[in-house]
Amino acid sequence: MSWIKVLAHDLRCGLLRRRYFLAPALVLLAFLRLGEAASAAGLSPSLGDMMLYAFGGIEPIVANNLRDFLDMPFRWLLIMSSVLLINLDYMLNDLTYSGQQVIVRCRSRSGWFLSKCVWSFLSTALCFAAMLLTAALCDACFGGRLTLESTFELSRLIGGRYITEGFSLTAWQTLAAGLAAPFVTLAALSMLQMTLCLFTKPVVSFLICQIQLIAAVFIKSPFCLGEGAMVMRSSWVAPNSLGPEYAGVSTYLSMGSALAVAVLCVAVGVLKFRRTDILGLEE
Amino acid sequence: MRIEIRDVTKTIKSALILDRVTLTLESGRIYGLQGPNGSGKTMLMRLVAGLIRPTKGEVLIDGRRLGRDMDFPPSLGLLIENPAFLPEYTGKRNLELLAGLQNRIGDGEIRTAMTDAGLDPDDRRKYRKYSLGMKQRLGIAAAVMEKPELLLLDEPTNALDEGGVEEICRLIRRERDRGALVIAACHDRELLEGLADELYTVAEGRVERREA
Repeated sequence: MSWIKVLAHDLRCGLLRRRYFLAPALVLLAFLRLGEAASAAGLSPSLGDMMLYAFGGIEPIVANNLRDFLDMPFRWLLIMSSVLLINLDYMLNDLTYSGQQVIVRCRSRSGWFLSKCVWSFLSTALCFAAMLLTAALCDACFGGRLTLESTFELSRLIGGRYITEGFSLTAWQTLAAGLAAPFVTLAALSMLQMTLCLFTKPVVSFLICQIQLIAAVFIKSPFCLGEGAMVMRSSWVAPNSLGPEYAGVSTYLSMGSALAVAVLCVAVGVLKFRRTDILGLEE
Repeated sequence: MRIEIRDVTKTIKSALILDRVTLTLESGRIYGLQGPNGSGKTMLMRLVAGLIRPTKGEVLIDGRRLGRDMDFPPSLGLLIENPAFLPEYTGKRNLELLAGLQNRIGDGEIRTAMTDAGLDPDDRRKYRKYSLGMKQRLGIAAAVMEKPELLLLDEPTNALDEGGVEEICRLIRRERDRGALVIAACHDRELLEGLADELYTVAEGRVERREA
């Protein structure tokens, strides 16, 4: 029962006071750019196109194409990083200030840490809800369709060089690759970041997660956390037909491995936090 | 309540914080920890509160080992360093939120604790508008409101004027008379001599008993 109350404290302090405008502000800039480009091309983007644009990332990097190595999916990196930044410091801030009064009343270190894990998950969900709302508003402004289907023309505009004529994603595929996979990946990365904060400084844990995201651009594996969050890397978008080096990874497998990382981080975090010294700011 | 600190050593990043500390503390007494800044007083309190783990040795509370049989003492009131509350809520709302975690007390006890600490429970000001003295008083009210068996007060008279210091000393004695085990750390030797039943000097991580 007290665990639920600690979670209520975290929702009150952690969710209501965070700077959640950062993530929607970044996607708003991206959506406005997409909307303009689509209007110029006489197209109307759907909600699915918007999400694919935000979480498109970059197509598989092919070893013989040097240009690929210089291309970085900055839009994708910025949006992913903004969510990690929002989730970065709440746990340690809380522990340094009023959280000490809470944890001694909670009387369970594991319960307290698990509450922070749930908070981190919900915080990521709130970021996505804000981004989705922004996408819907932008869509309405540009006269787009509030549907999840993505079309060939828009996908080429978004940056899919290897997408072939007649390509389209179903609503379910868009939902899985453009929303669920980035969400699960970010939830896992946030959990990893929070657990790393128990071992090192928050800024270092943030940088480690950034390195992981950059590594995901170059390492093609569903087990590399981050790759599944790029729609362009999904096997639905980058099929095997152009050759195995152009092929994407399974979205479901990526989500599964991200979930496994999240569960592992929670377990490691609980064990580590049971031995962690809770010190003050000056100590 | 009986607290046994058995041969506890604590090091943090190779710095020796507590050095082979052995103490036995019992209910109904005020234990004063006196020593300069950085001597280890706060760390000793954090150790008893379960916030830090000993590198060597053990802390037993009523025979149960802290960190193994329990994460934190079962009935604890705590004021360590500067009090910290949610700035956008009133003092009373902050206490209500904390009290709600355990549901042991109601509105009446919160009001009494605030009044005893010299605060007006009906004050509509938010915590961020509080003066340093008021923040300190709220920290003490939070520590005593649930009538804990163990009360840890680190520099409880910080930021208080002369009248406030006397008021808080009276409150601490009342807690002792109620049966609480009180540990108060302070660098003001005179104040502690007047307040504590047993006085300990903390220096470079070592704890030695002095005549009160």
